[in-house]
Amino acid sequence: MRLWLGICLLLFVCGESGAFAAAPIRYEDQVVRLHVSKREVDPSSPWQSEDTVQQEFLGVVLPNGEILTTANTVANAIFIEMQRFGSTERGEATLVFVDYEVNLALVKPVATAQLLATKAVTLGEDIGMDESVEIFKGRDAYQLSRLPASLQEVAVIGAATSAYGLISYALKVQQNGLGWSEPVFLHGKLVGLTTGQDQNFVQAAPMLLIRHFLSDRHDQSYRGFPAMGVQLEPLLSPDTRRLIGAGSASGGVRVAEVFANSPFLGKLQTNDVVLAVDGVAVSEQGFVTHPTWGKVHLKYLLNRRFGGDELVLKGLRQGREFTVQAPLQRFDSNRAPVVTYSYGEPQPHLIFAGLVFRELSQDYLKQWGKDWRDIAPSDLLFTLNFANKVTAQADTRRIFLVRVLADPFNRGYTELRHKLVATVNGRPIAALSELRAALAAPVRMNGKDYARIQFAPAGEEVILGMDGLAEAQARMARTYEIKTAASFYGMP
Amino acid sequence: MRFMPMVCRLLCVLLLVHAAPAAALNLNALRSSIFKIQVIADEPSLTEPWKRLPSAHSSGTGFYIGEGRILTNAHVVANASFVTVLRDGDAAPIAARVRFIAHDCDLAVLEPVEPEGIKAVLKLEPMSFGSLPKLRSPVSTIGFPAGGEQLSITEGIVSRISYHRYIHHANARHLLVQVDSAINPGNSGGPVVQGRQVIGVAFQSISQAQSTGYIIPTPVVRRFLRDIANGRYEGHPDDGLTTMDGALLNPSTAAFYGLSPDSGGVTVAFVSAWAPTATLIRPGDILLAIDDQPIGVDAKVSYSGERVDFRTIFDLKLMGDKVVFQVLRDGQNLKIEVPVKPSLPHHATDHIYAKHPRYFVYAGLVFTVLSRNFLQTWGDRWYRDAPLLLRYLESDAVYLPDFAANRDIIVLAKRLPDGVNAYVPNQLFGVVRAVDGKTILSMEAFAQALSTGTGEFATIQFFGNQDQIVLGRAKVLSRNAIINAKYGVVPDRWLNGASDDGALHGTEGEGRP
Repeated sequence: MRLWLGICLLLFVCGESGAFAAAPIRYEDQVVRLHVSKREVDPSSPWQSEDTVQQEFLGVVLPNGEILTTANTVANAIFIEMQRFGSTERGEATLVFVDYEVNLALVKPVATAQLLATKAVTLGEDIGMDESVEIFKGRDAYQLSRLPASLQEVAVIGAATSAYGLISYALKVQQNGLGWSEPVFLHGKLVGLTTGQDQNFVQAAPMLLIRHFLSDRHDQSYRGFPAMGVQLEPLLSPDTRRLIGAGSASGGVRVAEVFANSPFLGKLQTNDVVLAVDGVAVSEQGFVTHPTWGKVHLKYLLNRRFGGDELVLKGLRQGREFTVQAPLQRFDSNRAPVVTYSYGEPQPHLIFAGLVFRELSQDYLKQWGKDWRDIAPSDLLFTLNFANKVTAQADTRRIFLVRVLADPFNRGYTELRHKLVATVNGRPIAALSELRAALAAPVRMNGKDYARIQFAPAGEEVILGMDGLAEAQARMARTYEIKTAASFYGMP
Repeated sequence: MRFMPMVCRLLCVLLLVHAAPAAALNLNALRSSIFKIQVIADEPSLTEPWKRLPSAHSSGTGFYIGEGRILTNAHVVANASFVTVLRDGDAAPIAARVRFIAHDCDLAVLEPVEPEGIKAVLKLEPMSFGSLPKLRSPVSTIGFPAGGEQLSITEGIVSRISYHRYIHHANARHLLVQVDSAINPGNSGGPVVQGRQVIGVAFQSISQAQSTGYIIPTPVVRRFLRDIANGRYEGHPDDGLTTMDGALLNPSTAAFYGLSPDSGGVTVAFVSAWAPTATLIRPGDILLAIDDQPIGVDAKVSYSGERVDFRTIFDLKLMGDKVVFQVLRDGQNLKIEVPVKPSLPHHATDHIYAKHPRYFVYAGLVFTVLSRNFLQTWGDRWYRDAPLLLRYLESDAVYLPDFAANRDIIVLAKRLPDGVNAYVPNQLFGVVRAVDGKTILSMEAFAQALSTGTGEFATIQFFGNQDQIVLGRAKVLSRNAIINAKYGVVPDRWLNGASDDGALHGTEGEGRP
């Protein structure tokens, strides 16, 4: 089914390409401006939003009338307007589909009339090293600027919108301010979509990813981009090779860890050597050879595959070769206890007696700006980097106290902030639902009910009586203008 | 126990400096007892710890306290290789040595080295100590600010008395007095007087706040002098307590413990296993009083008419003393006597002032211990530029079960390139957890495990990282001496403790490799 649709898509694209061959290509007809109103959740007050901001991105028109853009375009979007180059009219567009893991999205205009003057882009192929391309950036409301660029490097990098490792172009260009989903063209065909910029290098999604995304999208069930769930390390040291029985083999990487959710759990083990993936030999540094790009990290092989595909690994265990096969799972950045993203989604939180709890997420840490990995609170960063292992339970989360809404009820605790919750009423807490349930089972002392909330790692404890909680929370809702009663524990 | 906020780290500076003229003042009554101290210091290298950094010249102030002794700050003479003292108005400096040095409270005692110098000093009138000054009372700071050749005096007012961080040590807190006078670099170690009585020793300031200085008050100075009376400095005790200050302000929290809102007290959250309070005080205890002084919900007690942190009482004790806590535990009111004694050996990520940091070099891999100095090799903004794991462990390792028993936190500080280590995985600044799968708690155990292991391969495992270092033992044995000779690594290890700076026990100069 998928193959058939792929062939149809290819034929359709070739037909379009033929039609364009006769006349000069007018790129302004194929590229549209997307004016996006975005609004993020206030990280410290997750019941409310931050100020709305407007940003502008580009997208390209596909043969089926949908607009291809990056997921970054639609992340936290509350309203999207589409505008053709040369037109003063803006029409509302809606999100059709997004995959934040691969940083690609599809939108479409609400009124199909907006598409009347547009032309579909022709999909090209992946480009080769040093090949010259053109990045198209909006000059004004009427024209696009063509910026010459050349492919300098192809590498696997973390997606801008997720934790997934993606193959990405590094295009050298003498222009700043790129990376807002500008299309990359070669000989009139789309060959990439920009995703970011680092000085003179613009990152762009190659056609490998775009075609994967589009063909998968055209299937009835989107299967997404998979991962192995295995941590692999280079195997350069001859001593390490001898220790694990790989001294006589050439190439291969060491299995450092098999994660709890890996399809290879029980099939691979620490110190196994992965010699080949999908029949492609892996070097000691973890690279495979691509016919056009040369040396590319083996994760690129997974970018080619779909969730549910069987992956075959050739391995070595204490000198003995073996083959292992397992169905791949679609990668989910939020599978770890510290959530990576939650674009446009409500931020799970709970206010108990003015203590604001939420799931620890990278979204929260990013409020410290571009250097957040250095300057965010070290307790939270340590949790992200060293206490964030995937567990067998998919919904395991790190719950922390964001801050305290000062009120006479929580007097004495108002300065507390950024504390990781260890236990509540003696129960370990690994989800907001567990926090809620634990609060519902208060500790009885001196004839009254209390909540005991203990924090890690130093063991500080908050002890608050349950008497008068409802009145206090109602007062806090008024004082802090919290209109979402469900934010509070025990309020309808 | 926890770090002071980042901003404070930025702002606090010691007052040691290098020269600038000062106005001459009429200090005839005191000037004969006050010295300019000039120091040539050699700090150890932190990344190549068998070496010492180029000599640095600096100066501070000191004053005569009798018995041929001159009192100054520890940071003035830390890592000193040559010290002279020059009395205001004299032409020739006198060679001196560090007799006692207390890095935790930033105080040191100097003595002239030569008989003529001793004779000259013994003729001086010692300065006498007063008591803790009152808030808003005037004080005069005397010294050689900015390295000047003449004594200078600045007037100020006592603006705060608190229990605060002494930055020379990095993590130690003691009683201190804040004054709103311009204490400048070079004032370090100088007397702060009211009338003719010394009420403190100038020692640190806030770099970005004008006219804010800190002095070591006489209770801390007197404690230091009592401590060294037996010829040995044992240091301030560490209570090892993490408390939840202010929790009992909350009426329902107080009611939970059966207390009334005005009962006072602080809750104990954590007790360090190495502290003298371990096993005696427990998490969940309520500390109601210390030595019969009621502890408020703000964790403060009355002390000389001021309210200061209750830890002040414990901190000013000498080893061998006792502290009595009144504790509420499980509804019972207990009196618990805590013998004041040195903490058990444990990882302390303070400043290191030893001749050398503890280290071990194996196969060209330089392993050293985590310290504040080591973190400061990342520069002034080490608290954000140093690797996260090291920053975090510096402050919180005490709470982590993985590190609770560690004597040292061992860091791979450098790779001295050689064929034997050419292909080891990049674990630079990684923290060692185990050798050959066996947990490592100290540098001694680490060196021994690598030196005496018999397996074909030595393997080193790191915290939070699954990529281990594997080295063929035979190859390492054949290369160790060659690598060490090539890079001048002599010796290949330094396993002495913090006390090996000699001066700590009045034995300056001992303990060099």
